[in-house]
Amino acid sequence: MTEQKIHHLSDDHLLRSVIAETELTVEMRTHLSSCPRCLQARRRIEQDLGQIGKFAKRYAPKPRRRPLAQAAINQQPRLFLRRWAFSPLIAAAATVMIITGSVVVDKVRDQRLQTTLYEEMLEDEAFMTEISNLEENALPRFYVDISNGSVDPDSEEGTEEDAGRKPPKGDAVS
Amino acid sequence: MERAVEAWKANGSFSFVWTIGWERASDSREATAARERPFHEGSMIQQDAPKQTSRTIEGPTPVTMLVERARSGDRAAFDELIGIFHEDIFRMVYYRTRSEMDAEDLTQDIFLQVLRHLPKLKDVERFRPWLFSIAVNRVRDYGRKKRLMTLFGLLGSGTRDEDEQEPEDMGVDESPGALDQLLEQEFWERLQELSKVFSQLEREVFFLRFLDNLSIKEIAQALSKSESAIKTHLYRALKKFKDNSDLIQLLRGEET
Repeated sequence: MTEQKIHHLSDDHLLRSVIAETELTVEMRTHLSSCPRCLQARRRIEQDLGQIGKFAKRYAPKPRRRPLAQAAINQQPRLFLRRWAFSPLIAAAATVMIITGSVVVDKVRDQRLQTTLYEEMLEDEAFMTEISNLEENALPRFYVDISNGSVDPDSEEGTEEDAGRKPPKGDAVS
Repeated sequence: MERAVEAWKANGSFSFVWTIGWERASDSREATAARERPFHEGSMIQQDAPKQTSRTIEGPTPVTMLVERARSGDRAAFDELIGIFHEDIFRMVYYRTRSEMDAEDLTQDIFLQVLRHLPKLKDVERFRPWLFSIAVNRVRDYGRKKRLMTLFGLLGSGTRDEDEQEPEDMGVDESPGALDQLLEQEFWERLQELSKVFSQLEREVFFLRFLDNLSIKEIAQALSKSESAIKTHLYRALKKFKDNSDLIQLLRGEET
């Protein structure tokens, strides 16, 4: 047999043959089926690729639970919430609580303000009443009693009320 | 060849040519069948035969029959289908998420979707690629949401769960368990490095072919692409794989 120039398959052709032999021409397929070197090279690639699957299957964990237990199949399936789904829920709940809390706090604050205002109004009213009384009776009580004749003007003793009488508050009022 | 020579000696040139042709055709058929078979042992189920990995099924029960029954509302048949495909889908999801917990949850979601949409499946022969297409889409959605959550800082940047930390470096431990752990860690790291150089489609095609053991036809159906497109992407992925000497050395058990 004459020695022919042997054209072995290139790496690209070997890869294509791994994917599908139909990717090669008829001549290449013929050569591949009879060339030990090319067959060996292709087997090497296939072995490496096969090893990936073996390693992956070997090192992948086994599932711990079976999906859709028989009881669950008969029920309406619910969405299974993942950990990360809780974060927006918590944020939403916190927002609602803050809004609700702020509304409640505002209401309480309003009530206290109203109470304070009411008390101040009462004080103002009392003050105005006293002013009105003083306007009507500008003289101190002692002099009013003198004018009424109930007190002797020549007497050196004043009434106890006059002794302890403080100047009217109206001084500060303009 | 020897048979052909003997045939020639016995019956002449016609027998020689016939025998040669028959042998080559046989080789070709075997080669084509081997091409379509999965690459590693413990392989996936064939098109119509059930797989018995996660549970023992009494008697052969073709998948297509189960799918037909499940499609008509037979819950027991659906339960059997889960038993057949559960581990495969779980592994498929795990290879892409590298999180056991997420893989459990996503597997649950996937089978829920299968249950919901099974009546819409027209061709029961295509159940397996259809199932994997649901799984691929579900994992893709998960990846998209996870990237979004990471963007908003609601998740860590790592791809693994907090309770799935890598084993600490405890120094030199020559026990078989430790060596296996090291190999495992090394394998996943190198596989991840390899998948980083793939495009999204190349990665998907490569994983479906060589990790999940789908045929070219099934991959094309699962990804809704033509077979020629799948082959093109697979070829590109294989070229990149061949250039990844670290992973190949690990697979061959060679020292780096």
